[in-house]
Amino acid sequence: MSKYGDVAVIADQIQNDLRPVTFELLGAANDLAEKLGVKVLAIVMGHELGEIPQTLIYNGADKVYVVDQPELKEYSTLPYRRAAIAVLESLERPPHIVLCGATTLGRDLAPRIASYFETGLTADCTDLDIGDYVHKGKADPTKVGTYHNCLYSIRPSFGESLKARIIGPWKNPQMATARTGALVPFKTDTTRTGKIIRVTAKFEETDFRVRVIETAREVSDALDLLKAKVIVSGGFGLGGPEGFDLVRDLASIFGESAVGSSRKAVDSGWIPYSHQVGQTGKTVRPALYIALGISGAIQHRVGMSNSATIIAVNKDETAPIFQFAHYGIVGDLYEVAPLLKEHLKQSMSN
Amino acid sequence: MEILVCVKQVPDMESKFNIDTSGTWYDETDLAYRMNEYDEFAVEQAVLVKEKLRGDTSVADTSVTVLSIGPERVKDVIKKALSMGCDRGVHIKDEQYQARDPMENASIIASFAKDKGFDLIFTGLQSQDRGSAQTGIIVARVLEMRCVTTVVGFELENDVITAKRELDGGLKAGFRTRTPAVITCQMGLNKPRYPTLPNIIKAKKKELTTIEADTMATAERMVETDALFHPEKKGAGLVLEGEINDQADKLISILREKTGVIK
Repeated sequence: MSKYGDVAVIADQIQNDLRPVTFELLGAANDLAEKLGVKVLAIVMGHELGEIPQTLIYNGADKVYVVDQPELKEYSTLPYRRAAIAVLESLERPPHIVLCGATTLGRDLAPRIASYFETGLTADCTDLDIGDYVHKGKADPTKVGTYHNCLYSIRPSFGESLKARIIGPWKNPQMATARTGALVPFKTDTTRTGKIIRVTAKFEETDFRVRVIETAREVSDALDLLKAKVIVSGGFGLGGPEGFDLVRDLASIFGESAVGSSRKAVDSGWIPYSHQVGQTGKTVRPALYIALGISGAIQHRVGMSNSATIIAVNKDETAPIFQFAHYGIVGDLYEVAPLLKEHLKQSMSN
Repeated sequence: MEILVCVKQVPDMESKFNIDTSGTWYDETDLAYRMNEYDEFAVEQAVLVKEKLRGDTSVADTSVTVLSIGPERVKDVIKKALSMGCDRGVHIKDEQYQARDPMENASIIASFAKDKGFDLIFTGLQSQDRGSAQTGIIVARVLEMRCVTTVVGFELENDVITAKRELDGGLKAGFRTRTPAVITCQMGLNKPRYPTLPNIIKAKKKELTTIEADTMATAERMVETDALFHPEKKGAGLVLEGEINDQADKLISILREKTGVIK
């Protein structure tokens, strides 16, 4: 038996849809657990979860703790907090590490769990690792010493221009939330086996002080930027709202595609905020990202630079986007985009 | 009604950051600072609530206090909030701001707020510089207030709050709760106003008090920055050349080879 507790992942589940970050967390958790010589636990909360626990096993969990109760049908902070703590308290020993998605759900829930255990939490990580830490006691002499096998939480700081390695080894579990699209997902293996353990949470009246009225999908948000394989995005270079017709047109060529946008196009009122990719919008990691008339300011880059392939079309050859796009075309997007569409269409029908 | 808004001053994110000699912070020389963008939505929402309640004789006068933690320079963002319509400012002077973690900052805010009976506390969803998104949530826990995060819609009727929050996957959830509550604000909630010149002048006469953070941070520091570093620079990409039709063809053959998106 290892000296250390296991690595636990809180599954990110909304309306019985496991969010992509869950598989990425399980991928990272397996790497961390291997270094520590421990197991990977998944905790999933919700109602009528069906095949979800089994899916978690296929995707890297050694044990799955399930809290399946009607009170958990819709996400609400305090009932989910209660359920997560019920699981964590039921374990023989506390996990060494607890990971959540840096999603709305994870970033709402993780601080509550951290707070309960009075432990540290690093948000929005893009990389996780295990290593030693020598504390020199600058701020707190009582903590001087060398700490082994700490969680290294690596995250962008100050825009995206610097990265910070953050540690908090004084207390377990050590906690982090990880940004969607940053970690490498576990490779699904339907021959994997694991244990499913059911836990019941005892709710209290005060858990329902904030009540969910309804959860609804907004019409304009029918697309799911986070799941799209191809994203075509438009920026200020489109020149006006009608430019998004061109963007939609090009996107429509691909299956599983979505339309994204830069901050400036949203601020100009050309497209709803839900399409915005970037620091104040969504972080995406599609197989292909096509940026039309987007300059590539840090604000935008933060949200898409992990895309597998980035193509930029911009008439300004000095635009920062050409510094990180994999392929660039310098030219008028109103000329290039329709042409690309035609060539793609031909290529796909061949 | 008593409202508190917590704002943070952050460096302009498009600045060039150089790591300083401590290795865990950046060189502050010549950087421009501004109000954390998410906090602008918080200030605006507080002022909107106040404006809506003005003239409602069933409630006592609404007063909006704006608070910021940090060195002397953070007074600038307090002044901005005052010129947007907050009534009084509180500067919590803290020279340890570089090392504070969210638990400590939340404990400072809670120490200030605990005996003041705030009905509503608005703050940004997160800060643009560190992005922890924890401070507001921990304040709510410490003060045992209700809390709704990532809010994109807010209505107040008497003491009943109806809020809309963003979820992932294009979903939004409606919530109902009561004051006292902490609300963390997301982009899309409102359109922050620009301070007008008369309001900037008026703001200069508003009360701005300074208190020392020393004894207010009651929580232990649970995380710290071990190192800052520059991300690896990716090499610049390939800019295609030649006639535009050839470029398009070239791009498509690249897509066919390197991605799975063209079958």
